[in-house]
Amino acid sequence: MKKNTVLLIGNYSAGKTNFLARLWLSLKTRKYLLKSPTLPQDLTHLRAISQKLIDGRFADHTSSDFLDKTTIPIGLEDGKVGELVIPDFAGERVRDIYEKRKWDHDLEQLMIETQSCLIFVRVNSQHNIQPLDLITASKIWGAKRPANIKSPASVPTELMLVEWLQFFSKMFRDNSQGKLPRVGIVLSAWDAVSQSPATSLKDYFEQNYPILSQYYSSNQDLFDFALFGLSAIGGDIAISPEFKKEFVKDPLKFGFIVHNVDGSDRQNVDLTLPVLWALGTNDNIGEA
Amino acid sequence: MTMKTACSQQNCTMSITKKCLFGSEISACEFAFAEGELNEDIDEAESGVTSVENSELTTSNPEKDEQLLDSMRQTFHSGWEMGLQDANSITQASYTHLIGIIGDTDSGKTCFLTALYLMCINRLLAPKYMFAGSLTLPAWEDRARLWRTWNKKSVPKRISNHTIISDDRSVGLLHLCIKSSSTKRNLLFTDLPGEWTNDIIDNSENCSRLGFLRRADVLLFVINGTHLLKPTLRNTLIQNVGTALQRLQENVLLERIPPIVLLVTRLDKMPSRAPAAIGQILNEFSIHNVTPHVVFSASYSTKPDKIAMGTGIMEVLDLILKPICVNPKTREINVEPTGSRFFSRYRYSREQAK
Repeated sequence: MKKNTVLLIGNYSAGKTNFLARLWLSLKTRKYLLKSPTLPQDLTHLRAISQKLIDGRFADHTSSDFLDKTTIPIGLEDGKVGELVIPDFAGERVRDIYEKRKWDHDLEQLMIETQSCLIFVRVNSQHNIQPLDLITASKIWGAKRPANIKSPASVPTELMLVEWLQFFSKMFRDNSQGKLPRVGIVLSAWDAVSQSPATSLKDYFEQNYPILSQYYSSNQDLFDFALFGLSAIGGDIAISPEFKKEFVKDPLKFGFIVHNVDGSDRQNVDLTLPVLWALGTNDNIGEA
Repeated sequence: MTMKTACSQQNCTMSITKKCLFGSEISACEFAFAEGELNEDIDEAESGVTSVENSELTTSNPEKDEQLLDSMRQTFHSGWEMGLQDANSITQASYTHLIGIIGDTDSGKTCFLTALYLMCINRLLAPKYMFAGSLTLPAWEDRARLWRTWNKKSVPKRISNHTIISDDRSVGLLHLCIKSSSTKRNLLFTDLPGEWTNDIIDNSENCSRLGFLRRADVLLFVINGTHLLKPTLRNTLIQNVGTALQRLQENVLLERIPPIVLLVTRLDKMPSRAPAAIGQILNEFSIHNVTPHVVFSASYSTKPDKIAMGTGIMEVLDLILKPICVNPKTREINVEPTGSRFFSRYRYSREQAK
């Protein structure tokens, strides 16, 4: 059976595990373009995270030494079947790779197999470290020069993700796999943004993520990029008890994906779309 | 027999041009080597691990086994300033602009570099110039935050071949890839201590370590604008700029003077653009038949309402990517990438001129 690997990458609390939980619930319904015809052999992780979601709770933080390779049987509408391998690892590992400039055997093996990845960035996240701007830098340069000290932990989140993409690109070139790797940028918690009128996915991405969005635009020759807005839950169950009450009544009624079609944003209830695109089975979605 | 692909002589461009600096057959040149050989030497020297120790990793010692496993993991560019050998991976792959930055201590070289970097990543140069990547991201970040400054007691004596992750800042190149007019441009900026400029003024023997500037596309002479306002500082500055230029001309650049930009920093702290003093400096340049392009800058303006933050940065970038200075000694060079390497064409044009 053909293995298709889609890597989920993102900083701490970027929404990777919540997406995986919601994805599993969608695959299981067999209502969408990508479906799961049979149950995975090992359901422990998927069951645990999806149970939390339908209870109206966010997923726990993924342990930093945990590289979970969730394997799900998949089938397409045309009858093709395969096995989807979705590794989900803690956000701290992205920082670890940035600092140590290497990745370990498990990840290396995965990267060789991987044709695609989804990079998660959670909008309005308190864990998102912004790049240094000129005004802040001017204060640093105007102050008394500090002694030569080691850098504290405040590397911009976007910068780490760009470095990760540069590593990914090198890995791909070294293994010359022919076609371009597919990288989907997923802006999670998109419901927090989409409520503001006339906020397009592309405009928001460019205005709020200057490093990642410029890298995205400038390197279309190295990657097959796509941009998605994701709301795994459709609202914020943490701050709105009313929404949570509605959500737990029928969790599968909530959640959506936004992607760009012919220059305009379209909302879709099929949360399998980013994975479907990453697998290369649908070329007409997600292009910004 | 292993093919020799690189050279230990600092100024030799054999890896690019396939021609020996001394005109010898590459296979017979005593300085040429197969790149793997040097990497092993350098890795050993820098890691402190000898090949004997490596051979011991085949024993059943768990600690050594862990070292072996560690060495097998995929590693990437260090992210710090690039050494000359490191830069080969970029220069061999595509056309690369080398920008040499010369200036006294506290002239504003690093300030200019970090402001350029911050403007680029923050989309302040877009849409004309878009950030397209960098192989020295941690090095840029640490400079912008002043986390890595020169250790004045032990400023490095030579430019690195390879850099490794360490606490000390080493002399090397900072990389930035910028997309402009649908083309990606690789830029390598030298990051040299100000002491080096004083050293070449004092003694011509100190010029040899700057030999790589012979292949620079643009030279930036950075001066502290506030020094133009005080007569004593101004006179010293003018003398130093002239002497440094002459040293470079006589000992490094020789027949080919690249386009030169005179970057006058700290515009926000200057009541005027000091036209008389600038005229004196330009006179100093003209003695050596050089006409620089003058740019005033304020990397981090203290008066942002009057002088914008990052003033001059875009102008310098325009000049780097499209040199317009014309010097009598500069040969006419088309710097637009046309499929062959700049240095190859430069060498070719010199040979034709002989």
